[in-house]
Formats: sequence, C-alpha cells, structure tokens
Amino acid sequence: MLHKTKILPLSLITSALFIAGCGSSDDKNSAPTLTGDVTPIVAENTTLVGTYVADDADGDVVTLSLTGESSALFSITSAGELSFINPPDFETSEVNSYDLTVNATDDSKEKLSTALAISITVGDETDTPANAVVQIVAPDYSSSEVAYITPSTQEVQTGYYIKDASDYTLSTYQADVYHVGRYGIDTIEKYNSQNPDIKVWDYTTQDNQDSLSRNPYALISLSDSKAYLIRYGSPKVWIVNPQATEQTDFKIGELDLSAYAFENSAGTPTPSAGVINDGKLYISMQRLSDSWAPTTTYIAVFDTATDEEIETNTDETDNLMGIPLKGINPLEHSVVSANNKVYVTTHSSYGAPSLSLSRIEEISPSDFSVRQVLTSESITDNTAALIKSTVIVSDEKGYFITNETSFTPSYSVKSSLHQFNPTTGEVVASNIANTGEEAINYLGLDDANFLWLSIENPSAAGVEIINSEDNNIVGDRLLTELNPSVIGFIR
Amino acid sequence: MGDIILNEGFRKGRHGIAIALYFEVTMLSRIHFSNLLLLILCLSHNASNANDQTNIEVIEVLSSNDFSSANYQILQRDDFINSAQTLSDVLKSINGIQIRQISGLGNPVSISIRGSSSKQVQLYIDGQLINDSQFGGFDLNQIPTEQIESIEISKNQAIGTGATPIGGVIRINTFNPSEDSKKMSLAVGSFGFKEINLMQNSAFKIHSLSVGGSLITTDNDYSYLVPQSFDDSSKSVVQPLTNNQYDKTTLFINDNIIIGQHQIRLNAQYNKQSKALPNYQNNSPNNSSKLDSDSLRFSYQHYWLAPLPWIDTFEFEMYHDDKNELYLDSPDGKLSDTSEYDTKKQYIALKPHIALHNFKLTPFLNFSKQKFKSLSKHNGKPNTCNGISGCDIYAKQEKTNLGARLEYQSDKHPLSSYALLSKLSEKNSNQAVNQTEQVIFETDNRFYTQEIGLNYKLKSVVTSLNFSKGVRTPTLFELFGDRGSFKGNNNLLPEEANTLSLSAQYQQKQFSISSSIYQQSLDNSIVAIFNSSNVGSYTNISNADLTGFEIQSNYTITPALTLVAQANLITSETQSEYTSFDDKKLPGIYHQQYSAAIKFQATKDWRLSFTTHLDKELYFNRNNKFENDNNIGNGTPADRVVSDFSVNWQSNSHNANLIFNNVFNADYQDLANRPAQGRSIQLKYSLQGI
Repeated sequence: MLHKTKILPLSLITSALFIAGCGSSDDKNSAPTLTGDVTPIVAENTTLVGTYVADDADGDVVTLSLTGESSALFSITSAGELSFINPPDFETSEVNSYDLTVNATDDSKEKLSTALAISITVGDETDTPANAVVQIVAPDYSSSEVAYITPSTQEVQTGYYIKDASDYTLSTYQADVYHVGRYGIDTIEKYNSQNPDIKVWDYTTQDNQDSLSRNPYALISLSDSKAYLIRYGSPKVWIVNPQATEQTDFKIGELDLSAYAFENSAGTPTPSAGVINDGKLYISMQRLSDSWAPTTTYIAVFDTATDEEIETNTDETDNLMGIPLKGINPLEHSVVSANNKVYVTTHSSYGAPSLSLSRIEEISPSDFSVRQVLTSESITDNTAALIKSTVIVSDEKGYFITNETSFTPSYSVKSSLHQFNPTTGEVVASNIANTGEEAINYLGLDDANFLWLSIENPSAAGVEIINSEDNNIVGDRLLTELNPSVIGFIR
Repeated sequence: MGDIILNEGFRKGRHGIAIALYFEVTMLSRIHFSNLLLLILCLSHNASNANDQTNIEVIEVLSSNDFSSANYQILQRDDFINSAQTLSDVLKSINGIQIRQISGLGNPVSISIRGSSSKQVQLYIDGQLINDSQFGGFDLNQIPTEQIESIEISKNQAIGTGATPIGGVIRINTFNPSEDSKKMSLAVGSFGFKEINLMQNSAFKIHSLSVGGSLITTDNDYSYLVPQSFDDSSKSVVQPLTNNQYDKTTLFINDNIIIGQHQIRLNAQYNKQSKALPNYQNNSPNNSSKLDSDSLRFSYQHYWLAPLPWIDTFEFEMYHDDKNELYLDSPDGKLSDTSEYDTKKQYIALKPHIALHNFKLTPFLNFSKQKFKSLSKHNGKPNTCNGISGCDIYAKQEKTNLGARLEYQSDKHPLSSYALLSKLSEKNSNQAVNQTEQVIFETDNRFYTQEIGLNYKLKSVVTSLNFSKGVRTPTLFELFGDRGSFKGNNNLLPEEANTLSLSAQYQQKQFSISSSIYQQSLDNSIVAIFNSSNVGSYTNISNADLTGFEIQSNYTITPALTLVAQANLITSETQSEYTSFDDKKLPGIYHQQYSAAIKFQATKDWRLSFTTHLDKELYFNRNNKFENDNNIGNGTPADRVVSDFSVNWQSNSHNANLIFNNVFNADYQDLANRPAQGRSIQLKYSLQGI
C-alpha cells in the first residue's frame, strides 16, 4: 500500500511557523493583567476608591483608562489609584452606587487590553442631624402630644400620642421610643419609630397598693432587654425589661436610694436624672425636703452587672456610698457621659439661688473623683442666670444653657446657649445662635454632634438645630405648634 | 308675655301701711323690687284690736312657667321646689345656660351663660355679689332650694343695677313667706343620698319669722372605671368610688319686719359642709383628703317707701359673710398638707328709686370689702415661703361701684327702654405673711361698663334689642399668684366683651316661642400659662368672637299635655398670638344643644315629665385636642345624650316626686373630663302645713 504525503504549500508552512513563533515564549504578546477590588465601598465625603494594579508579562508599558456610564465622575492615576473627582454626599446624591470599567492596555502593536468591571457603593456617615422625636406641650398644660422630626426634609409630623394631660416625657433607645406619663399618670408606653402609630405595649409604673404617685422621670437603657426607670417620687428605681410582653415580666428588680432622702415625708431623695458610663449607672438626686429646699447633691453609682451600689469613698466622713457634689439641685437631664467622664449640672436652689452653687462638675469614673469645671459666675457679666443643663462634644468643646427670670413687665424666663471648654472651664461664647431672648426648654446633642434646642415661644414654638462646628443654625426653625420639651434621637 | 301681674291692694291709713300699685313686670323693670312688693305685708295696726288677723293679699301669678323675655327670666319657687335637688338642677333647663359639674353632689359646678366662662357669671344672693375676689368662683349650690323664693337669670346683662357682666347674672332671692306654715321634706336617692328639710314660718303683727334648716348627706360612691386600681395597678377596674362623701348642714333664720313705711329684712344663714376628695387615679382606700368649710352670713335689707317728691323708695342693704375653709391633702392617710383659707366680706349699698313721669332713675352706690388670709402647713409645720412652695398670704380688695339706671316707658306706644352706666373701682393689695421681706403688692384700677336696651311690643310679639359692654376683672390670685410656683401678673387686663342681642317673643294661649340671636366680641381672655419649670402665671392670651342663636317653644297640645323644645347654637373662634390657641373653638361649652320635653298631667294629682338633652361639640381644652384610642391623629369633640324622667304626685299638702336622672345611663365626660356618674334616682316627699 502506498501513503500519500501531502506537501503543504510554502505560505502555509511559513504561516504555521510564524504562528508557532508567536505562541512560544520567545515570540507571543500577552495582554496585561489587572487586579483590584471590584465592589469597593467608599465613605461619603472622601474621594479615594482603591488601587488597581496592572501588570504585563511582556514588559509592555500599560496604560490605565476608565470607561462606562459613570466614568466621567472618576479619575485614575498611572499608579492605579482610582478616585472620585468630587467627594460624594450620601444624602444629596441621586444615586449612591456607580458602575465603571478600568481598562489596562499595553503599548504593543496589538494594543492588547484587559478590562475589570467595578461596582462602587458610597457609604453613609453620621454627618447630618439625626431623626428625632419631641414631646410638645400646650402652654396652659391642658394637653400634650408627640412630634416626629425628619431634618433632611424639614418635616415635623405632629399628632402622635395626644393626651389630655401634659406631664409626659420621652426616652429613646435606638429605634425604640418610650412615652412616659409622670405625676398622677404613672404609665409608660413603648413604640417603634419604624411604625410610630403602633403601640408595642403600655405598663403601669406603680407598685400595687401604693397610694402616692411615684412620678416616673426617665428610662435609662442599658440594652434592649434591660433599663432603669427613675421615679422622682420614690426612693426605689425600677429595673425593667423593655422586651417584656406581660406586665408581670416588666419589672425585674429595684435599686434602693432611700438612704439619700432628706427631711422628705414621702421618703424620696427626688432622683432626677441618670446615665450609664462603662457599665455603671450614675443617678443624680436633688434631695428636696418637704418645703422644696435641696440639700447636698449626691450621685449614686450602681454596677449594672450586679445592680449593687458601689461604695465610691468620695467622702470618707459621710455614711453614704455616693459622690457628694458642691453644686445644689440637679434638675432632670442633668447627667451626661462623654470623653469617658460623667458631667453633672446643678441649678442651685429654687428660692434664694446662688450663682456659685449652679455648676458643672466632672466625675472621673476611674476613682470617682470630682473636678469643678465651672460655675455660673464664670459667665461674663452674669448676675442672675443659672445653669440648667449641659452637653459635651469633645474634650475642648461643650455647651450649656442658662435660665434667667424676669418680672418686668410680667413673669418670664429667657435662656441663653453658651459654649465652654470642658477641660479648662473657660466660657468661650455666649448667646450662641441668637439665643438670649426666648426660653429654651431642652438642650440635646445627637450622634453627629448637632445641637438641638427646644424653643418655648408660644408664638413660634419649635426646634432649632445648630451645627457645633460653626455654631450656625441649620435650616429654619422646625415649628411644632405646642411648646417643645424633651427631644429623643432615633437612628 | 311671661309677665307677672301683681294685683295688690293696700290701704293707706293712719295706722297701717297701704300702697296701691299696679305694674307690669318686664325684662326692663326691677324684678327684685317687684318681689319685694310681693312680699310686703298689708298689716293693719289697729290699736284697739291687737289680735286682728293679718291682712295679706293673695298674689295672683298668671304664668309663672313662661319666660319673661329672652335675655331675662324668672323662676318661681313652685317651679322647682319639689323636683330639684340643687340649684344646678334648676338652671340646667334654661336655654342658653350650660351646667357642667365634677360628678357627685358637693363637687365644683361650672356655669356658662351664652358661651361664657364660669368666672364671667355673677351670682347674687338677694343684693349681695357672691363671687369670690380671691379666686373668682362661687358655690352655686350654697343655698338649699328650700330656702329660695325665686331665681332670676339674665344673659349678658345686669339685673337692675351693678357692673355689667360678660356672661350674665344669676340672682337668688331668699325665701320670705307671708303666712303661718310648717314644712317638712325628706328625700332619699342613689349613692346613699339623704336629705331632710324643716321650716317653720310664723306671721306676727309686724313681722313674719321663718326658721329652718336642712341636712344633706351622700356617699357619692358611684361606679367608676379606675385607671390603675389600688390592689392591682396594672388593671383598670370598675369600682365604687371611695372617699367621695358629702355632708352639709344649713340653718337659717329670716325676719321680715314692717314698721310704718319701712320694711326690714333680716337674714342669718349658717352653712357647714364637708366634701371628701377621692383619688380618681387609683381609688386608694387610704386616701383621706377632704375640703371642710363653714360660713356665716348676715344680711340687712331696708326698704323705705319715702314720702318724698319723685322718690319712690330707698333701698339700703348690708351684708357680712365669713367663710372658713380647710383643705386637707392626705393621699395615703399619713402625709398631711393642710391649707386654711379665711374670707371675710362686707357689703353696703344705697339705692334710691326716682320716678318722674315716664322715667325711672335709679342711681346706686355700693361698697364692698373682702379680706382673705391663708395658712398652709405640712405635717403640722408651717410652710416655708421660698419661691417655689406657695406662700401664705393676706390679700384685700375694696370695691366701689357707682352708677345709674334710667328706664323709660312710653304711655303712647308699646315701647320701653333703659340704659345702665357703671363705674367700678378696685383697690387690691397682697402680702406674704411668712416671708422675711414682706413686700406688699398693690393695684388700683377703674372699669367702666354700659348697657342699653329697647323693647317694643306689637300685638303678641315683643322684640328686644340690647347692647352691653361688660367686664370680668382679674381675681386677686390672677393678679398676685401664690408667690411660689405661681407668679402674679399685675399688668393683667380685665376680660371685656361687647355683646349685641336681638330677641323676639310671641305668646298665645297654647303656644309661645322665644328666640334670640347674639354676637359677642370677647377680649383679653385670662388663662394660666406654664413654662418647662412648671412655673405659671395668668396672662391675657386671646380674643374670641361668638355668635349664638337660641330658640325655645312651648306648645300646650291639650290642657294636660305640653311640649317644650329648645335649641342653643354657638359658633366661636379665637384669635391669639399663641399659635396653639389661634383659630380654635372656645373650650368648656357645648356648641350645640337641643332638648325636648313632654309634660303630662295624667290626673289631678299625677304629673309625668320626660326630657331629653342632646349636647354636641364640646372642646375640653383651648387647643382643641382630644385624647383618643388611636396613637395618631386628633379625637373628636365630645357629645352626650341624657334623658331624665320624673313622676310627681300632689295631694293637698302632700307632694312626692320621683326622679330618674340619666335614665338610660349614658356615658359622657364630666367637668374634669372624667366619666360622669351614671343613672341616679331620687325620691322626695314634702309635707306642707303640718
């Protein structure tokens, strides 16, 4: 049998040889490689997305370029750093995700290229005022309700939880809102800000067979399943479980403050405020006598793990475990935690007040020592204004409000907002944001460090938000119709 | 229409008193003066026969049930004596008057006339203004109905003389019998109610003496939904209210003396009452809070038929009123806060009546003085006055009211008119008694009021047009506060109102109808305003416009069957710089009221009556917000439908009355915005001429 051998034409042989030469290490051109994060998340108000590394096995020079619908918003350096041209703002941008392609092209004759598709997400930072819930009260105390505020849209939604009484307050924890009925009401209701018109539960804050109204003042939350209910008219603080589905499961314990009562027939030391710092609960007490005269202020400290009171040994001569202060009469909202310290504000007594007894004092949790920050005498040219409450932004920046009473032409109260340095005690500025002519019911600080003021002006009652970076009012006054008091923040 | 024709004959003689008088009483005349003439005895002082029987003319009342005019009305004793438990019960049937009460006998009562507040209504007992200078209120039920001769009601106007009010005037004329009689009445009712009244009237030669007393006691333990029951605070349970008792003792003595041209009325009344104060939140059995009060009132009224040219009579009145109140706040039976309030009032008035042709002029001058003192203690120790706890105070008010009323009665046309001008001066002072630096606050103010009215009668229709400019002066508490957490405001302006009303009345034998339309502009409403520190003061916060329409008709279907229907409609709108009070409805009043009554005289002795009231659109507060079961959105104004039924038996000197109040046990909110008590039953038996 004979085999035929075909002889390939020369062109074909040449081509084969050429192609073979291209595929060989000696003769082929490879496209560049490109690596990097294909789903980066970028914080708003920053520009850097990430670095994309291009490599070419042939040693060709690689050029990076961007294509795609969003590519015009970005730039990329020769080193592969991909950035926004302008920093994105999560709140104001129409979209917060962007798709583009990074291309790496070599400089060979073939201009070989590799493409990497990237999907970029912009993340939100807490740089705008929080959403809030505010208790609003009729000026004649005949009714009250709650309003929800959305600063981004300047929206105020009133008409929540309308009551025929006015002595109500609010506490918040994450998205939960607690509506507390105080003197003569003695109830607490729970709502969730995601569905604010649905009540989760309502419970009494009175023990059985108790004739006196115990006047719940504030709910201090440790977690979503444990909180402390301070009751102004009682020496007993309730320990409660906000997840309880039955009244019988709501109260899970008590803290006893009766040792601090002073000449008070109801046996209450009139606890007015509290805060949790590093697992410890700090409770301020006015210690009012039957004639409404306060005596030495004490701060009781409890371990939230064991609910036992801690012997602070701040005053070794007294027979009380708590921390005595120099200032007198801490009102509600008088205790805050910041800079790993606890700050207490005192108003001085109601009758014959003294400027030197209206103070801001700092407690160091490590040893419970007390440092005097400032008194109301520290305010320039102050003769009558008393400090009502304080918020702390940082070691160098804090704010407090003062009240001054006038009887001309008739009884009125005017409040001012002051900035101070918590470390040095210096009062840096007063009458911030045009305050000084109206009464301020409440001063709050949200987690983006915006100040919130409840302005009590029956002709223009509302809430003002101030940027603590420049002390300027953000937007317009958010009108509430009724006088606003306590504000709670929701995230 | 609704006129009371007096047909009295007096003989003018050497030893007796005789006055011949015919006059027609209308809205424009001095009703209290006509009552005086009703009561004047015609005595014959015949020296030769000391035992002559007293000669008393019978007063013939033609139509006591009919209203005299739309702005003025008088109720005679027979209209209410056998049926009403209190004065509130009497007044609630008057069109244009709204009575709201904190449930339970003895609790505060609020009265509104044509949309007014309670402080804008004046209460007179005989000629004395009862409104308290310190707090502005009055106890509407302080006089038992047994001691009332008649009740005069005027809307937006004074009765006779005095400063013109904003809402109106309720004047109680105390009982002044003219013949020997003894009367006893007994009543029992729901919730432990018991009442006994005794009265002895004796007519002598120159005087008639009336002595009597009454005892009332009730447990007021009606069923109530307690928000947090005492034994289990997590539960709302219906329970009988505890610590809500009420006890009242009243003694009185009246003497009516006729000497020559002089008639002198002496009256002394003593009241002692105790009202326990329940804890509506938890109905605690340990609660022993209460308010005790006792008061003693003397009055001297002198009428002189002056034999002077043009001067008909001189009236001279003096009153002294001494009231002590003790408020005990003891919610658990251990804590004890007491407040003692001592109020002394004196009043003196002079009023000549001048008649000149078709004119009658009554200038008047009255002077009153009130002193108020408080003393508060906690667990027996006096309170400290420290700027937050209230101070004990001593407050004083001296009022002088000078003015004149001019009436004109045409003898050619059925036309009459009147004008009333008044200047009211007040000097007030207030000082703390337990303060180291005793600062005395003082104010000195003048207030001017005016009224004019025109009456025209054409055939059976009487038309009236009235304009009044009334005032409600700030109370001492509103001006000065308690120097604690309630501050004073001595720049307070008085509440003022201009009211224009037009009314028409038509009466025939079987049918009568009365209708009024009125418009009022109210300025400077005084309201307590609080700040976030719970410190309050009274402030002038708003104005308001009211427009009202009243209509009432009586139809006698048969001599035995009468239908009464009435309607009262009010529109209101406030204007205020306070956003929450601007463009709102006035609180505390029903804006629509409708009622219908059937009265059936079944036999000579038996009478039945059934009344239904439909009241709508009540706003509890100035910003018109309503608590409701939804967690978002406003509730709706409150309505109520309440029906009452009564059966009356009268035979000679015996009378028995059985009343079912709130027959169908309707739910509605009381003055304190709490559920009112439900159905109640009362049986009253009276025996006249024992």
